[in-house]
Amino acid sequence: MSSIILEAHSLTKKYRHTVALEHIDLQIEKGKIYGFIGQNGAGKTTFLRLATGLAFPTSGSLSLWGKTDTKELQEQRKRIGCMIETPALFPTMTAYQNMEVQRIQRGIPDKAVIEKTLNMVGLKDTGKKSVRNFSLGMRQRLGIAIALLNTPEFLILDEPINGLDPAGIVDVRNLLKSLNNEYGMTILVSSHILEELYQTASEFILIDKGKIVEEISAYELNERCKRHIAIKTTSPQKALLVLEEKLHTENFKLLPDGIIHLYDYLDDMEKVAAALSDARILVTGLSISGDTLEDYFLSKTGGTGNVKSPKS
Amino acid sequence: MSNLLKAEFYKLFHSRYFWGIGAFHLSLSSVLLLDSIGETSNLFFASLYNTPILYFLAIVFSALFVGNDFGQRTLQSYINTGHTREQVLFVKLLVYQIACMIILALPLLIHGLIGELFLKETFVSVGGNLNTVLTATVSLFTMCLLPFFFAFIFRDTGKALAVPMVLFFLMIFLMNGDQALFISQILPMGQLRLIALQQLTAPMMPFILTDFLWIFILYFGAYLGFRHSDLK
Repeated sequence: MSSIILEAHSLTKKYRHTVALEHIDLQIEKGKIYGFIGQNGAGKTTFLRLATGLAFPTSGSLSLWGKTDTKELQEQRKRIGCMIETPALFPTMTAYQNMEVQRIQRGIPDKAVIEKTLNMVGLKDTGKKSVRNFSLGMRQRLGIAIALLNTPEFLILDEPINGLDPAGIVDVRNLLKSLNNEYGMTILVSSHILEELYQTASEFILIDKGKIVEEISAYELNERCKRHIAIKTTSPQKALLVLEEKLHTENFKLLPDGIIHLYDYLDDMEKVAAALSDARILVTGLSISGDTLEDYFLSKTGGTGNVKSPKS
Repeated sequence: MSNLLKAEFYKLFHSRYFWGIGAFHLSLSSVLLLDSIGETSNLFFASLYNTPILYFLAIVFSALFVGNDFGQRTLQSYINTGHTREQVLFVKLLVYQIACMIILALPLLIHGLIGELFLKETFVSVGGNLNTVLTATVSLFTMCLLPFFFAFIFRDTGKALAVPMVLFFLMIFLMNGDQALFISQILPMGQLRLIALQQLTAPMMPFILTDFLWIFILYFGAYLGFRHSDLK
């Protein structure tokens, strides 16, 4: 059985004056948590709306569990739980009643699932309080609860931690991780809060101006963001020997393009330069590199406008 | 689809708008009887006479029951969870029409029964009036469909309220103009007024066909507008 849950081929969405998505090729694999990152207007929500059937692509194809036919695609959406932009709630109803509407329309026979899911998001004790009197964070939690009601195989959350307090953010993060661990749930989360995504996701999709800029795993991202001395030389193998023998370190990596990343001596770059110079190795570049997570994303998405870190 | 239907009925019965507008319509219609009773021959027709004026309440209900569903993205959640747009439209129409018919027709039934029981009026027992009842029912059904159509076209509470409301006043204006009789014959709202004044004489079939034409146009208009539309 294929491990691909969602696949997009050359997916394009145009509005009257703008191209929201341009030839998107993307695969979402089973059991992973994906962080979907991009600035406002980058096309994140448009993509999620296409995936959830709220909008139709101008061209290209989208498949869910290998199904591409319109009717079959819609049928597969029963396996998805989602919250796109703001939670879909009836303001005059209570949290329980909101969940009950969703339970009925999804054909879930067991009413106990409502209490269980409300408990999961910390909304068990809201009683007869109408949703209109809920705080933004509570609404967000209820939206997440609705998305989780049928224990979906694929969970899509658009900005789920908007309006949540720090404790709520931690709760949601832990919840997503436990859902992924316990049920093998595949999760696609879009967010502006990079540090939060960084702590949750195992894969990252960077989107900018309607195009996928990069798909990268958390491991690769860590490697790229790690601070290091980047050494450019005409004799990399010889330089590695010098680092081992003269500087007594093996904490380095030789990249395919010949650049050496040295993770030690960050505070003593002169010593590295001197060692290489003494060994008569021509060094064409020597600098400290490594981005913060935020820097890395901004360098890829090309802007500083809307992507934010809680630390900034 | 049965799950969707059950969910919509659950929503309807928990809807404050439905009970509130229903109760308000009944009381306002009862108060207005004092004015219309002199214009018509019995309590049922007097109540029917007021129905076009109170049509704005059906428009308000439509904006709140259907328009709000779009505005709050709750209708979109049906699509997210795998229901087809055809199913969503059909179920929404069915439940909305039942609710709207209850709101608009309940005063007619109650006032008709009061007339029958306490004022010794004989409207219900007269076989010839079945045609009238049928025409009135089809007209009411068509009237309900107009704001529903706009709610599905605009998919927004404000526009779903404003546009039908403007049309409502326009129809009232036209029904009082030079071509009042002709306009009243082709507009479901006008047909009700003519029935109330017993000016809509047999055969009723052309009027029923006119209403069915309206139903066809409005339903398929809503379907075509909704089928491939991008939802917020």
